Amino acid sequence: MKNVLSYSLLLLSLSFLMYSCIDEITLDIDNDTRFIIVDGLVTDVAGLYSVRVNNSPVIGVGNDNILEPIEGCQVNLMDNTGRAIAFIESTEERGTYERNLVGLDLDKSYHIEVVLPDGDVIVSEPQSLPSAFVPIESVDWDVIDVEFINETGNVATRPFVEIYVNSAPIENDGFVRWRVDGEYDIVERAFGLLNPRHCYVKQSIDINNLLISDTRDFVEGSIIREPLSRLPMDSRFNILYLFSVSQFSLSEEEFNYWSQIDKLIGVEGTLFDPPPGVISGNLTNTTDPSKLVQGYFSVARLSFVRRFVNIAERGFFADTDCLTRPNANNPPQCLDCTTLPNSTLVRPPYWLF
Amino acid sequence: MLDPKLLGRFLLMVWIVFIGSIVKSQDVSLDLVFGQKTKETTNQKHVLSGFITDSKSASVVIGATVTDKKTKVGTISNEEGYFELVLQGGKNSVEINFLGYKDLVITLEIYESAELDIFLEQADIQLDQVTISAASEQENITSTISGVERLGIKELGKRSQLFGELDVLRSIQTLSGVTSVGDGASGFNVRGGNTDENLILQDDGLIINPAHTLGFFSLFHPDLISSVELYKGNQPGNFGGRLSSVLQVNLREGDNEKFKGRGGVGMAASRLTLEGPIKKGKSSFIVGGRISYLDYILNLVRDINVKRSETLFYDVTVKADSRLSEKTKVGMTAFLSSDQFRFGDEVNFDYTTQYATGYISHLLSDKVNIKANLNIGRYESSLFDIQGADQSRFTTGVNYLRGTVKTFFEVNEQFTLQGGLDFNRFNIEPGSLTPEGEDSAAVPRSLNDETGQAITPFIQLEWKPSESLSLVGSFRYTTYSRLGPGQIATYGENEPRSASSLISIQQIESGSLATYTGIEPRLSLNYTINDQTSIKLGYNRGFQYLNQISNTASANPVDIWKLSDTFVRPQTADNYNAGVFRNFAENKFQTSVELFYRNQNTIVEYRDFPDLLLNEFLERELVTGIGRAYGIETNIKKSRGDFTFQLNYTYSRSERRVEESEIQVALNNGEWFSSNFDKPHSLNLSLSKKVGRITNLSVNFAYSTGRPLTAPISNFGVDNILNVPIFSERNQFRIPDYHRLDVAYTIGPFGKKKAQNSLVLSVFNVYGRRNAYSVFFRQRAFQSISALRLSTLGSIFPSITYNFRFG
Repeated sequence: MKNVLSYSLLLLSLSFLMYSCIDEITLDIDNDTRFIIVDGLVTDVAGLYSVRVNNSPVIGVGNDNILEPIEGCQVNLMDNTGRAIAFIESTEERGTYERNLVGLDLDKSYHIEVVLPDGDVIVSEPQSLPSAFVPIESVDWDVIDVEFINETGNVATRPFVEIYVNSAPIENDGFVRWRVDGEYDIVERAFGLLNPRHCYVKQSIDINNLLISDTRDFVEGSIIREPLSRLPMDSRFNILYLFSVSQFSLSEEEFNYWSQIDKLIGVEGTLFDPPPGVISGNLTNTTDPSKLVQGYFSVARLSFVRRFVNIAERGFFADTDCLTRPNANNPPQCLDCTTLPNSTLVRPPYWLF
Repeated sequence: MLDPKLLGRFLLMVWIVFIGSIVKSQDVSLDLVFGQKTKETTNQKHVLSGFITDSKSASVVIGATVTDKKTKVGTISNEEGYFELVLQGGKNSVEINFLGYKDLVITLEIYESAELDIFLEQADIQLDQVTISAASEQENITSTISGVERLGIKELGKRSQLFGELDVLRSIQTLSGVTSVGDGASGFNVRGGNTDENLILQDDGLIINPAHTLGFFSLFHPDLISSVELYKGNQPGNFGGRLSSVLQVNLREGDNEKFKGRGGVGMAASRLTLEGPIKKGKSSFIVGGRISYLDYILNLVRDINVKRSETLFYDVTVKADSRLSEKTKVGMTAFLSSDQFRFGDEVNFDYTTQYATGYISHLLSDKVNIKANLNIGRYESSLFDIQGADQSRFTTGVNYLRGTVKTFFEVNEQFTLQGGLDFNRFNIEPGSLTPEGEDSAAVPRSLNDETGQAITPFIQLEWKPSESLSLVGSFRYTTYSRLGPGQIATYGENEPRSASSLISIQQIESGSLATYTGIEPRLSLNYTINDQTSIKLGYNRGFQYLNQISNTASANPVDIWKLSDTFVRPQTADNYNAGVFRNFAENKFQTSVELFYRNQNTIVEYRDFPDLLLNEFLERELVTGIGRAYGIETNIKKSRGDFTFQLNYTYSRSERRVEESEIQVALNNGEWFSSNFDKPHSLNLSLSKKVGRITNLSVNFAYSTGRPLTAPISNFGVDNILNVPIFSERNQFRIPDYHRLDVAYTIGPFGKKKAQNSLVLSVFNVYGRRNAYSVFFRQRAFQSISALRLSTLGSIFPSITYNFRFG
């Protein structure tokens, strides 16, 4: 009887494990739809701006998360007076068209015009710079403990540096999006190294981290301690870390577009996922409207702040990856810091020390 | 002086009980004479009426067929077990059938209208298989309303032996025209309608969600069921408020003679039912309960996610009935059901159904009956966010108060009249968010309740102008009001409803925010060509004020509900159906072909990227359009003999269209698109073979087209965001087709007569098909989106259930 009971329990346990399962499948979707993807941004602040033109990949064919750049396009920024500013095809990044601009005029509307190699013309909807400008008041940082499951399966904590942004209240409803870039300095440290050098390393730390907000969600429209980005407090914080925060003030239409993107990239793959939808940008193929175009050409206002983080100021300390005694496992940057991607020996003019 | 009618009734009762106890054959014959034989009384027609009850428990038998064997004209006992049959004066043979009971043939001479109470004796039924329905083999030909399924659980139970327990929801999904979006669905779809378009009643109590634990079990306790009827075509005049169908589950009365019980012990759940007299011969009670214990099993599993999972349900039903006099009867039913489901940290929700009903029924005269019932209840569901710092509980609820008064009046042999009043009041709790735990950073929020009520007088006429033609026509006039307190938002004229187009908000404390009226005409016609063939036509219009708004890719127990108001107009539909019914070999084989078409004048959809939860301006997220559904259902059935089968195939489509207007954007460019439950091909096969004296083998196979799906067709990157999926227009693709094979082997009843047992061995999903309940998508960092299939019953599932009965 005992054996029967044990067997029954085992059978039931196995059955339950089997009966409800989630597995990855390949859907039989007969589809070869391709989209032209246009993506660009200009603001009221002088600088180098770019427009990217790509073909979308076909799902299930080849490396289906890689866009295919479209070269040989003519890209013009047009204003409502008919003035056109031509973008120049980049020699470094395929499918990218660049132009230094001195800043846009509040009184004008702008749109982009892309002439594809096959002659089709893609045009964005005319946009003006948003009237509601949300400037950054300050950027602050803090050290927080983040829980994680360690190798033994137990809950442990790890310190992270998190940065926050604050903005003063504005009269109108404001819509913002943030970009955060990182940069740190590293000094070569290895046994026997006589003249250690400093390198300055740039990082993209917000890839796939969409940061948008609507000031209507804040008390009196004042953005207070809005968390933007967090990084593990590792060797990058050993000396000095720089967060460069760009706060773009957007039109409500563009904010809605980014909200749709947020919902699409936020799917977790559970029963309670929200239903998906068809995303719509602000670009049209005027030559053949039936040809599919995706993307957004943004006309925004920019507020930019750099914030250095010196964790030692607040009594914290981060180890270096390099050991000063002989060690074969020392990473290569300990001997030559220029081996790190996006690193330079030239000290940026804005660097604090 | 002894009333000869009473004497006749008494003698008949004694005779049937006596015969039933000694005769082992299926049929029992009797000879009776009512009235004096004269030339005049022989040429006249007379009414035979009475109550049909169980010979042992004295509980009423609902849905038994009483047929004049000469003319093949029949009737069905109503909710009180009462029947009336018109007979030509002289000698007649009347046959009474009800599945699970021995057939009874009464030979009588009738020369005046007479009353006759009939006590049916149960056949040797298996303990686990309650016999639910029992339409006679010819009822498919003679009944006027098409699309009515009176289900025999004994028959259909053989098709639904998951966990060794009969299941009403799984059983009805084997019928033509009835589908679901997949294993684990919390509802069913009838002829292309949404799950919220089915009126589901258990003893007049409204059921919002008929499923336990993601649909693994249905809410209906199998040992308590007396009869089940599904109206998937035309609805009788006393039902309304839903566009697709009516599923009516009647619970049986307790035994008013002696105490007894029955139950079952399964691998996942157990059940127990006790019943007995409150006052012997007059009143009775029946109490039934079920509880699952998968929780205990899950704790034995080492996997951390499974260990941290919960799946628990229980339900309790209490019912009491009392016959106050020969003509008056009262009763009440109380029901409580609770479900909790959690899988690791990913999914966590619970839901509860509770209601109480009461009724009084009175026979005013031989020809007039009146019944009133009242139902109060609540459905509540909660979805938990158990990850991160904002741990919270999102709760929605539906409260309701319902009542019906209806009278039945037999005008003469050709005319029967029903009339009454239907009242429904709903109070919706659209959502509240409460923090879970002391450390939660979630901000509590709550939306204001919505209240609405519908009052609907109705009248129904049954007319049989000739032997071959019968008609049932009904007319309902419905008045619905969305009641205060509430707010009415005003948006710019011809502008899409949004925050920027909002002009004003008017707060209404009492009275009506919006009122809608409408008429619901219904007509059914049966033209009987001969006793083996008939043609039926039907038309049905309905209004619906309670709308289910699914906030996820798949309908689930925590969907929100919305009452019609100034922006969300009532949904309306016109249903047309026609069918040819043909029996062969003296009704051994029953076949039918039915066509249906539905024109839905108003449907509610959500726009792309809606914000549905805790949104006080839900109208901004919703769009309205039109819908249509059409199809053909074919059936062939053999229900007599040791070997029985049923095969049905349905081709149907269910589509929607949302066009652009000044205030809304189009969906799918304004073209017709498949609804979420559009499954063109559906096939069901059920075979049953008696393989021994007490053993039975049944095999079931089901196939259907996969349901529609919105899937990613490409992806792109913009600025710092990589791999943004581009989804297709709504429902442009389909999940894989569904098919499944089940086998059940039943042994029993065995043991002593007063303590019988049975065993059900079943294998669900024999070849382990991983049918998808839902397909959704997961976006991993720096990778294109991947499709995930959730199979709720994705493997072979054997089960053993031991059933018992005592008393």
